[in-house]
Amino acid sequence: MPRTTNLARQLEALGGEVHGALEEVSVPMYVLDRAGKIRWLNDAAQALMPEATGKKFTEILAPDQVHPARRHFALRMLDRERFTDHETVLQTSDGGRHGIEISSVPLRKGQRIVGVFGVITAQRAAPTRRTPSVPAAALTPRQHEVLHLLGTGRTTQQMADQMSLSPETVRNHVRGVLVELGAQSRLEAVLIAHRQGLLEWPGELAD
Amino acid sequence: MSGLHGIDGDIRAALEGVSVPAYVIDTTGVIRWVNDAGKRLVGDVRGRQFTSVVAPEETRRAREHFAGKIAGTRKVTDAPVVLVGADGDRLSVEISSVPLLDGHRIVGVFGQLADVDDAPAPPIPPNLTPRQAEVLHLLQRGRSTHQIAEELHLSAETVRNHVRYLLRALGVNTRLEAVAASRGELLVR
Repeated sequence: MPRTTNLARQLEALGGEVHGALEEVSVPMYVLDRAGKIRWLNDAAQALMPEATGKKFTEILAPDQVHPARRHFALRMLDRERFTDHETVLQTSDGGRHGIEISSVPLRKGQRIVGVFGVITAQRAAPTRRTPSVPAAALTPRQHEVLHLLGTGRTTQQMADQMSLSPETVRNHVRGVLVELGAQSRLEAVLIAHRQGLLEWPGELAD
Repeated sequence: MSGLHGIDGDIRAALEGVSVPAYVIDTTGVIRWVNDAGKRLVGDVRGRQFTSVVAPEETRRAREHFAGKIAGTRKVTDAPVVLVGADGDRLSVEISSVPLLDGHRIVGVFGQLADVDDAPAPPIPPNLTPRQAEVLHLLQRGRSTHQIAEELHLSAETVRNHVRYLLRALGVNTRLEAVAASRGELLVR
């Protein structure tokens, strides 16, 4: 049995229909036609790219992304793109940049490629470039120090003792860290910092 | 919205090929389909109960979510889950799942992994109760008291109680310390 009929067969066996599920699942997905026009976005993708349906996909990308994206698309249409995964940057209506990771495959009808089906696998809030020096740059040296102590689970008082500062000053630094990282709590700040590579758990270093 | 029906192409075949893990479970909880990305993550688990792929401390919550969807009381569930990978690793993932429909009848659940954490989920300390383990896992994902309350269908006060006992069980004073401790961080006291 050809592998590609698997889902079709299972859906048939269950009597189910996957299209409705794809509309509602909160993973953003899209379909482009052969001309590169956005033909379908599920609800999650529409939230990410409002009013993009009907536009060319190049119209919603950041200008510096258009060329590489066109190339991917052309190779995809020729069935010569070997990789399913790549990164790109969306341009929001207010001119902001929104980095995303995409997994996409040719959409076929029989043997013919009729477009592209893609899934947005990750969104990066502030991104664009991921050189290691950039993310840390926004934190002051003191904030950085506080962040590292937070990462080890220290309390305000412990940090104050260690840094020879008053607890109030430590709280100020912590507030600055939260604002800079867009976190609501200390716990969230540490997790965000970890995700951005600003902090590493010692367990990972040991591996 | 019927947008996808107008698309002339085999969406189901495309789903097999994308690198985002996806699955279908029938109403009895048996995994009926997993795409290649899913197989790479948890192995070919078709024919098994979905709970066999979920970390032991998470199976109760996973069952609740599943039952809610089969009963039609929950539409979309976006939840962090710890899965057991093909080689026994604990995988921290975010799953988005929805009922699979035949007309208006619910015939199963379709789900996709919205996010797979690169770092393996830290092991749960053995002296925790199942509830404490659930709470710790959500804290590890940065969830607040209210978010945990919503996720576990508990009151905020009950969640605070679980957190209190969790901290005591781990011998720490704050939530942050609890997460750091569970990650293997040596605490300087």
